[in-house]
Amino acid sequence: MIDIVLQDIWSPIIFILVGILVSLIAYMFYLMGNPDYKRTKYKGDPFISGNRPPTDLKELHVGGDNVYWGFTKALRKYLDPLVEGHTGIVNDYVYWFVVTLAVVLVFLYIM
Amino acid sequence: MKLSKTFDKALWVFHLNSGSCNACDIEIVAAITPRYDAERFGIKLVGSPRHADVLLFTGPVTKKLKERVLRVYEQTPDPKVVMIVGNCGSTTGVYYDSYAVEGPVDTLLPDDAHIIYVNGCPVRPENLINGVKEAWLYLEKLRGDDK
Repeated sequence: MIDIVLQDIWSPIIFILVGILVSLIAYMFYLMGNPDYKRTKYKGDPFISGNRPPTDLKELHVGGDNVYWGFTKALRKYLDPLVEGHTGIVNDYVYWFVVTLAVVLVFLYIM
Repeated sequence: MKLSKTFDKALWVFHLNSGSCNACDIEIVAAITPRYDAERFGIKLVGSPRHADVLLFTGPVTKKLKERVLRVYEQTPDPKVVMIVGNCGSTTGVYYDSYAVEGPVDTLLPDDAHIIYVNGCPVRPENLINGVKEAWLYLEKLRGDDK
């Protein structure tokens, strides 16, 4: 039953009809536009405070490492020791786990 | 003139400093403070020329800013009115013989630009608000709403 319905949907006639309908709607939107519009040298440019838009796409790209730039800069003092602590050696991580656990247990015992 | 009846659409202004000494810019800020409060009429400064009805220039156009002035002018949608605020924008004022100045704003814009001149050195906020009113009337004419 489902196969038959799918076959109906994917028929070329429906494709053409939908294409015509979408084209008509797009043309309607086009007619709603300003007929006095004149294309000039800078009109379609993105507004970047009046500056020339960069032609090289690399200049537009904001890399993932830049997103948290301010965040990492502000917390550099706390972040650097943490980065240094990440040695990649399992023994070190276990050592930190045991020490932290011991500190927490001592703290709980005192409280 | 339909101004008193149909001040129904907020007038948005984009301000571009094309080389001003900042005196006119300070007066523009004064015009939107509570003392003069141009915003009660819906007149407000916007951050992009794409949203603006009026393009406001202060100062003569310096050589560095010539291309930017033209670009921002073209990026403002039609119909638009240009307000040249201060004497420097209309005549280059005291900077008339500066090596860095390209010329008055109106000499650089296309011939069919619709321009309102608001004079003063610097302009008074009252004069500025009056200039915006004149710009609004001009826009009504351009849009054919003035009947």
